[in-house]
Amino acid sequence: MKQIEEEVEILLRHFIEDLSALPRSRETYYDSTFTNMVRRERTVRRRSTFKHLFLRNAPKVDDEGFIVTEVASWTRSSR
Amino acid sequence: MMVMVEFKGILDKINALRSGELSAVENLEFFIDRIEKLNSKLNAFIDLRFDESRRQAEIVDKQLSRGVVGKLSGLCIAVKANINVKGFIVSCASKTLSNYVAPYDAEVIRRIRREQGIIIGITNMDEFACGTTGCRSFYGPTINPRVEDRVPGGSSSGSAVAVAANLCDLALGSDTGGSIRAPACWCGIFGLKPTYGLVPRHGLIDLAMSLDQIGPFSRDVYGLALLLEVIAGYNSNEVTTLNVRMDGISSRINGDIDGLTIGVAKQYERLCDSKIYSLVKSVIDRLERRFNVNVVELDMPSIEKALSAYYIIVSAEFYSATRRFDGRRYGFKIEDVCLDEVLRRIVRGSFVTQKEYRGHYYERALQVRTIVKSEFLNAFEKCDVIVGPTMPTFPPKIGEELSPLEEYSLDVFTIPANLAGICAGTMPVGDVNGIPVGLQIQAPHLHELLVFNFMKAVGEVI
Repeated sequence: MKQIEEEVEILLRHFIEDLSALPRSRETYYDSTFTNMVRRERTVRRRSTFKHLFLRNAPKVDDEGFIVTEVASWTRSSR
Repeated sequence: MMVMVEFKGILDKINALRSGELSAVENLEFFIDRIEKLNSKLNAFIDLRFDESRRQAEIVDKQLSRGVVGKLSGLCIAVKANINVKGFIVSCASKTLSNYVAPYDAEVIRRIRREQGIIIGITNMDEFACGTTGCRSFYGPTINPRVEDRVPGGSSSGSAVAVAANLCDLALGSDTGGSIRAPACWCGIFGLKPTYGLVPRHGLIDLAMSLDQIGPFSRDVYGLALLLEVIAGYNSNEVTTLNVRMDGISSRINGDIDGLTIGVAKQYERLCDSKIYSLVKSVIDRLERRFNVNVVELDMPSIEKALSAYYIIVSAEFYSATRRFDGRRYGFKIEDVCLDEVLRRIVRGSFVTQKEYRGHYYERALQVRTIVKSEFLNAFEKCDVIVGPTMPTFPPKIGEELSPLEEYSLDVFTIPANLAGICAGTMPVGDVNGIPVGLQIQAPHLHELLVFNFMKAVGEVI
């Protein structure tokens, strides 16, 4: 593992040096060149009741709206 | 070994299957016979269920006798071990998933079955598609049938070898940074990475979801187009599939490239082995003499930079994709049992996605992706296709030690098409001392027909 981590560090240093001369630009997460051209644009329907419905399924919710959970018995942090 | 009448190509065989000259069962038995003789040496298939394949072939024969004719009509298809095929072990060639029996068919498999394709088996690959050689598998390396002392290329090594060694008619692979084109090139066959979003990814165990595409392997252009035609098209269950179809594309290939402008990046010559480049250049020269085409030189400096950006993006997405392999659902925790390259990408992915480094690595890489894409879009304003060598070197010898960076550099010509989302195919154009050399044809988004026409035209001059 130690060797892998060292290799990774060297590779990342190489990668980032390699990219350093290129100009800044906006990021592309997904290629969407054609997605918007061929698919009808739709507005996402916002459901005002979603949070309420979601939290209703939670076993326990505190006063501030956070879900209260317990640590599973098989995890390390429970020991 | 069972003898079968020689067919000129996939179209010829389909006509024989449809006319009853050849039955689907006979076709399957021919391949089963060859697999039983050759697979122990080539290691192309890692899961085979002949009883199930025979059952499918019998159903297809009954359908054909009733006049129900599908596009594949009993052709045998091999499938890479990262595409879900119900009832088969779909392990991604990793110990992590070595007990995973797929509970469902990927969308592409459903489409193949609908068109009477017979799934003949699951093929070997580099573990979780992390590799360019075809040697990084839990099941052992795949052997290149064209040059047995050299690697076949990866990561879709088994699919390429199965097609090259005539162990099936056609095969499916996946291509994230060249995983179809590299093995197709080094095994001397045809391969295509479709436009991103053209083929559904539902049921593909992803390496990097913003780059992965499922695509076909074949021994001829027609087969390549036919399998694409079957698997391509919109899937309402996915947000990244495009609402286009490729119906009839295989019957529209006419090899007409007159009037086209061919772009060749000037960077190719410097980055490529001189013998490979000379052969590729001679093919382009012959095209120029034979057809009314214009060849222009392009300056594409980002080709080299794409490599660094790609490996950062892939690591981040792969790290995210592998978090489900935590040992609770599939038996083995990935970090405990995987090979070195998978672990290297997981460690790198965990590093580059840390909040404090995100802007430094991942976002920077995504910016370079934008630059690469713009460079290709600009290039396609000057030319119709970009042509060059598929791989910069000959396949390394089996056992030859490569550093990670040396292995990554083998992808230098294939990665840009994935970052740009365009389509790219490879075809064999000859050999140097018996080692196959491939020509890569890159075309704008959704111009697969142009790639096929170009392949057919090249076939006339080599």
